[in-house]
Amino acid sequence: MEILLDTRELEAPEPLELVMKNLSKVDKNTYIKMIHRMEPKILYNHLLNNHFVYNVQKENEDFHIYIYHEDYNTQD
Amino acid sequence: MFTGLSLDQAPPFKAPLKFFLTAPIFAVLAALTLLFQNSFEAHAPAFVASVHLLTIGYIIMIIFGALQQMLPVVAGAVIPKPLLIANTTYGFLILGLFFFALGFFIYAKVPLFISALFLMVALFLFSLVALYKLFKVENKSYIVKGILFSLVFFVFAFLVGIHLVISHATGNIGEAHLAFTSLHYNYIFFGFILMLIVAITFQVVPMFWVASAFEDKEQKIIIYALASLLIFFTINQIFDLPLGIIYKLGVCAISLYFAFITIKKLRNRKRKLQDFTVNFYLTSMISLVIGIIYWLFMSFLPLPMIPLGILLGIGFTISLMNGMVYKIIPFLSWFHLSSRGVFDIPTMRDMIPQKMLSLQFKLHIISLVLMFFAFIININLIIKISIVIFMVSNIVLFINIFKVARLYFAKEKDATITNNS
Repeated sequence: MEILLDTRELEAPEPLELVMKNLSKVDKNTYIKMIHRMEPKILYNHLLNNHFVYNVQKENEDFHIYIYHEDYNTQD
Repeated sequence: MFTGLSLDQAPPFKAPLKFFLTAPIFAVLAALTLLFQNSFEAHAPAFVASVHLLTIGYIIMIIFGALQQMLPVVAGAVIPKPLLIANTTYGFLILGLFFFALGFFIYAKVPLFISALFLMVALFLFSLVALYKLFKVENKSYIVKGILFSLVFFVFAFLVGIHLVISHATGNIGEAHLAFTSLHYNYIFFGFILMLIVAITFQVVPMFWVASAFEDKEQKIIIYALASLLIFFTINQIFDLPLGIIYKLGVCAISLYFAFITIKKLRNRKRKLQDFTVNFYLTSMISLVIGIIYWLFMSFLPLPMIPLGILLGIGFTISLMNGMVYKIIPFLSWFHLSSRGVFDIPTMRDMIPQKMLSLQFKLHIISLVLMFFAFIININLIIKISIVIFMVSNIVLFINIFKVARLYFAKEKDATITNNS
């Protein structure tokens, strides 16, 4: 299941707050898709240290950041 | 269970905070020392002292505070032993500045030599550590390149500055003194401050004001053109070529281009909430436009020097830093509290009441406009009134940011008690 977080119109630190609030919902069946106008580099180390993995794709002017739990079920 | 953001990449809050809180105190000191002067001459020793209380005490303080926090975020460049580096830099900066001001006020050799030594330790320590870390960053973005170039120019500016201080201390002011002074001004203002502000703007304008990001092409043009123009200027000065006007026109074009796209992005920002911090940024850009045109006109008209310093120093640089401090300190406060697992944090907007922000912005604008025209018409009484307003503005700034610091430490204390119980 995808949790879509469109943070393009939020100012710092609201995008980070929103991701942090939703991280507890991420499990092997659920991932976050964050759409942001810039790369939230400050978040990356935290994700890696807390058993999450991420993938960043640039789509036109925006960044799409996919956040999975490291046990994410890739079969789905 | 989620316990908060990782602090791996961030220095302790206390490291940059002391730099931010000290800056307005030096602005007040600079204003106080100016109030005791009866005439204002750009190269007079007492005036040089007051100006440096502002440029080193306020501007460099804020830049060093902000860089400690921004280098890890924008470049992944973590300053090692952050508290040790921050405290050493801070201590030597304060001592160096004290002796610098004393040396120029009483115009004596010994304090000037001591100031050169202390400032050298402070400024070199921080900038060389930062430069080393930035050089090691792989795949440098234009923001990283901009910060890197700015620090290189800062080191050059500082070396020239040391030469100037020692010339004063030894009484050996030769024919080349003005050429060196010109190099110092240009490296400091365009090479260091403008370049750094450009790079930081690329990061913070989209981040804090929900504006569209600067395109790579825009970033590349501004950063490379500015660096190339300063190299051109150095060659022009060394070989005493008559090409200074080309440099001036080039810097004007780049500055106007930068100000234009920044104003456009801020005006077209996606979420237009009432936010006085954006007014500081717009004031800064408008001052850059007026200042740069004034600077160009100085080539053809006998315009005084000090109003240029007011436009570029206070109007452009200090307005921007003032606005940015209002964003950075609440952001850091939020960041460090949330990293400790504290989630009951007021929003950034609530940390500093908009009324107080508005009051300080008005005081700042009034002092800026009044000071500029007072120096143009050269009436001492109006100059001093504008300096008093500038002083009050910085007292209000201090109160506003001190409130955020106090809130942070109260919440941090609560969190420590909760965690220990």
